[in-house]
Amino acid sequence: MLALEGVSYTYRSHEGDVTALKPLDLTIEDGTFLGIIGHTGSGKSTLLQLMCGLLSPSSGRVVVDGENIADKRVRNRLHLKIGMAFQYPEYQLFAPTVAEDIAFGPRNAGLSATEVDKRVRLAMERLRLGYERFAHASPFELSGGEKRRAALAGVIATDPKLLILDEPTAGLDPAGRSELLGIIEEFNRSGMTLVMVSHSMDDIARLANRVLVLKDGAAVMQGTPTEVFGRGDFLRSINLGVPQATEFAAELRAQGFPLPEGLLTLETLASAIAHELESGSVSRGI
Amino acid sequence: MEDAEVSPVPIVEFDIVNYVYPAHATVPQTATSADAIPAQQAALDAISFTVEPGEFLAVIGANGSGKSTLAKHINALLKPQSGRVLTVGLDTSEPELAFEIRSHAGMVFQNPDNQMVTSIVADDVAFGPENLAVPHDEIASRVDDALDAVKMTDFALRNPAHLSGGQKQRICIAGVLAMRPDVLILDEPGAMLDARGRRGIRRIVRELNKGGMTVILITHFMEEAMLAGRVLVISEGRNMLEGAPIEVFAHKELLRACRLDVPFSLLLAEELCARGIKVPELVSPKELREVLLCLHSKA
Amino acid sequence: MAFDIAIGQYHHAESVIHRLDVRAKLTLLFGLIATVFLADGFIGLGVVALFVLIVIALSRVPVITILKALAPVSIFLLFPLLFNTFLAREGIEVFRVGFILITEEGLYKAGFMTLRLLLLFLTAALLTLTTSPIALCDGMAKMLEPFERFGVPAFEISLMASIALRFIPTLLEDFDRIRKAQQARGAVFDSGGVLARLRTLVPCLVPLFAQSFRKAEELANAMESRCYHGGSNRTHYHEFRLAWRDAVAAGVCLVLLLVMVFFF
Repeated sequence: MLALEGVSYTYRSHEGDVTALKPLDLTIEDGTFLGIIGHTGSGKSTLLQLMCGLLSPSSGRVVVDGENIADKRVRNRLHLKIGMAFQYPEYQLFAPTVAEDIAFGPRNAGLSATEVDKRVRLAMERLRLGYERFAHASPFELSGGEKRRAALAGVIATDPKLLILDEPTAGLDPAGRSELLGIIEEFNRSGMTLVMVSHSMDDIARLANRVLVLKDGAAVMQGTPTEVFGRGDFLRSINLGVPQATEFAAELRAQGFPLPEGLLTLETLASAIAHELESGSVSRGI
Repeated sequence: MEDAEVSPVPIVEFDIVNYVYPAHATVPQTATSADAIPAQQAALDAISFTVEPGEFLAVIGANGSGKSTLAKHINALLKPQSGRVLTVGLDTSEPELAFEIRSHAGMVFQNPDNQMVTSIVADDVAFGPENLAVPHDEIASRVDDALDAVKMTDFALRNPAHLSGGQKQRICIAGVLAMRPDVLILDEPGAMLDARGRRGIRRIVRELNKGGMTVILITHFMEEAMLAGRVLVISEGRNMLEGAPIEVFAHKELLRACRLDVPFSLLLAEELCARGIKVPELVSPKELREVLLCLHSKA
Repeated sequence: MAFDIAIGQYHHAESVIHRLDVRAKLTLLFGLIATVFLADGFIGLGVVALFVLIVIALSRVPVITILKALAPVSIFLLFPLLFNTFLAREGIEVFRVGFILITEEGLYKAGFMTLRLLLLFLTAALLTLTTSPIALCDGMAKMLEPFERFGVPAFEISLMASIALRFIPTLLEDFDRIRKAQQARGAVFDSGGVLARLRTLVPCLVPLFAQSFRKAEELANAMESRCYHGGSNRTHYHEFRLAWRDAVAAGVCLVLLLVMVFFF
């Protein structure tokens, strides 16, 4: 379990002190899929870096499984518990072969050669990268989508129980996007706790069970996707959107078509519309 | 202006264009889709199409489909190995025409950070006109006009490093507009932007086209392709489909096979049909809402 | 958290100093440096200091901004101060405790050297505070232009400098991100000997180079698309026209220089 207790972050620039994140309380229970939405500059990436100990909070504390990560010994082992993938993670690939790159994390953890090899194979399997085909290929020869998956394999090779993803699908084409989202969904289903920043409200609605909305360094909303996306007007007022299905339902409702709140996906929307039309004709039939 | 009416020369004309990347060379790696196409695989395979003055064409395709290669052919950054590309009637395979072709065909790339040469917005916008040897006094008015067209006038003296991705990309568009091109080519301009940045770019591109600018937009975002008058779908370097957006989107299976998306309203229509509700399959969101309201009032 | 390394810490303001032609300002800078070295007493330095103070007042740059600009180099002022104060062995004794001996001569020298350096730093800071990096590049290119006939690519040099200024913050940002990404995978950068440390940098430097090459290629494409074809047949957005104020500035500087040569 990861908990942020009154965590804030302020840094110095030549224009004075800038508060990138205002004091925030947040608890992420094991197995949660937390979606974070907000604009560039809303404090998203600061928050992610605080969670995994890459930044130290200016105030408050970050507690992982009951241990404060300000403690250097805790922080040094943190990468075994928390994996972090920055935006465009393929930019961190460096080794001559895919397998060696993925082995970087496990090796830093001081694992034995056989254990490292086991981890590499497992990570590649989880990212749907065939070992025979990719293990000895140069990361620089892969396609965009394959590179992305190789980089993510390098992040999960230490088998973290919490994975932090900053815009994991940025720049991928539609098929690549849905493939990767499928993989991420599997991670969560197998018990991994997920934190994902995305500007696709549809992806957040589909995958997350908790949503955090950030604006100008402050958490302005926290709740289930239904609660958060139920406040479409508020989200629009801060220039964020809602899932396409929610948007469509809201417009239909405004034009006099009765629909319940909390329709987040295509399927639930279609069913609700069908239900309404059928019940309408049934009541008239009587 | 009158010229265009007298001589109906297409702005861009591709005639059975083939292009294969040289062996051992990887495709120039674009920021988001660093796709290395195996040597000998055709990056463009017998592509033909034309773009008329004032048109808005969207070229859609998955990463590695050859759409960026296609874009680079329009302004002579790449030359066809066989076939012919004419831009404003000029043959791109003539090296001595490259300068003139580029002055007519302005190109915006996907990563705004890698297109700017200076750390002051106005100076960057002036770079193109300076290269075209536009007289000094006219450069200033062109810079002003271009920044106005992308609604960034207030940022003229700012450092682009302090702007958002969407704002930077607008500066890049201004940098091309200041060259007063006949056609604006945008190669995945929204790929590195957030939803708000993409919306801003969409609005500006639509406005420019309404103002008469010919636009070729390369993208894999369906909401961007929806803006176009005509859509060209390419996959593995080949034309797969061409037509008005809604006609093209009707081919859902083909789009999926090309690793592309189907717009939301069509998916919803599909789901509704599956639930026994009779709605037309090819609809825009607005049309679909009208149909549903009509069904509801009848029910 | 944009990387805000303030190269030259340009401070925008509307002032006569800001409006001076860059070439006039560069000439002024070199002239002032010369006068600082020519002055061989406190009175001479006092005159230069007075002149610098007038320029500061005219520039409308807040004193606090100037002090901040000087902060990183202030350590260099400390050296001559301490060195001359404590190591002078000649002159009239002022103070002596054990091996520490402070003489009048030493104090005089320390004060003189420190003031001299301070004035040098101040004039240099004033140039960068009142001139945008890009204007500085342009100005230097313009001054190099007469040498173009000897094969000096003046425009290319200024464009290169401009691109470097533009990309340094981006590269630092890239490096920071890659370093953090590897750190998140358990890389440790701050332990071991020199060789070990260098080795830990490989996972950062390889991606940084790969990324830089890609950036360079994209930039080249973008520049070519915008009809870049070198420095010939090209006009300039910023025209350099010398105005009366540039002549005045140069004149004042010349007078100061002459005064220094003949009186101090």
